[in-house]
Amino acid sequence: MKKMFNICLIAVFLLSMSAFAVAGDDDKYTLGNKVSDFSLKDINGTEHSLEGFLKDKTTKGVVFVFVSKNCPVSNACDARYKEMAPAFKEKGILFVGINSNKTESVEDIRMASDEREYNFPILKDWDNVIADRFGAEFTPHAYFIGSDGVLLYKGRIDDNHRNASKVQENTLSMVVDEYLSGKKLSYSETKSNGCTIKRVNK
Amino acid sequence: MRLPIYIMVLSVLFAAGCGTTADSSIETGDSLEFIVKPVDAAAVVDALKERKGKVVLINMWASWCDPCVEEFPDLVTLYETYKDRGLDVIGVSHDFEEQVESRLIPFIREHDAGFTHFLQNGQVAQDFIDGIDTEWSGVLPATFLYDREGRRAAYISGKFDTKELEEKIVALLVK
Repeated sequence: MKKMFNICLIAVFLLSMSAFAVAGDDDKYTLGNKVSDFSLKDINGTEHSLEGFLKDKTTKGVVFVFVSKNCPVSNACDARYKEMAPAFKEKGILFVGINSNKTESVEDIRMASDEREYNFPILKDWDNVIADRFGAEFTPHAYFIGSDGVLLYKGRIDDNHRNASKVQENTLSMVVDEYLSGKKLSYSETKSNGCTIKRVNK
Repeated sequence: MRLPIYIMVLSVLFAAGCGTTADSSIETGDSLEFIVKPVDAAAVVDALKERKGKVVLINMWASWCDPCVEEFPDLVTLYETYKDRGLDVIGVSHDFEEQVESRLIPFIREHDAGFTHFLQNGQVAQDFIDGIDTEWSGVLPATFLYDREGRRAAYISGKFDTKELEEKIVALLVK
């Protein structure tokens, strides 16, 4: 009887753990709502949190872009990331990459980051927990959070991820500039193509 | 044989005027011919309309997209299995222009994919996506299945389950 009780206890424990492992609807980050704090380690092992990014009063917002080492579409945007990161920083906006692909190790990402001379931090999102909360589907997929922690925009970086020479609209930069100048944002959500984020099975 | 940058890959049969695109097939080897045509969402929708009377599957894919590549052989098998019963398949590639010759065409040849292939190119991504289907987020792969009247019968975001997709196709073919 005691053995059965113990088995039941273990089963209840495992069920409750699985409930925590999968993001419920309450955990989802939605447009127009405050993003609950989260923390991730970057590829050098330093832990960062959303609140940590925003607590600096000179920070006016954070852009998170889901990136990939292997995705050709994300890689086609490398030069654009590297232009945006310092340009945004001058305006008080942090540019942060997140890698949620289960197929890309921290070491792989670090090597790629060094080779490509990325000038922005890349956070590793193990088990795609944060990608699930944001609802990020592909790379690159951008999210812009204002200084009050509210999610203001999600979608494309610009209107041609695959070919920089055909870009007609730098959507993310435009939205950020509109926010900084107090204008109504032209978009809160846009669509684009990219590589599917390689998720773990949950 | 040098291939054009913008392509709509059709068969020798089509190039020779033997039937419609729905009856076309790609032959492997040097006998392949290519018709230059940029393809936007409207062209894909037109191709769907032209196939009224058939069950049509449109697959959005790219040779750089791992799940797309994984499901591609099953797409070829489904087409070969059911084409004579009225299934037509249109593959819309989202490959890079510069990789059409080096990667896309060899991939199609390697898999002997005898259905119609388009290359999405030039159009603003969101316009293309919404021009195909406003429900589509833009994620690849994406598969759309239409009944013989051209009405959307299924939309699959991400990699399809082959068995489930086949059941849907069969159900539409018998109607």
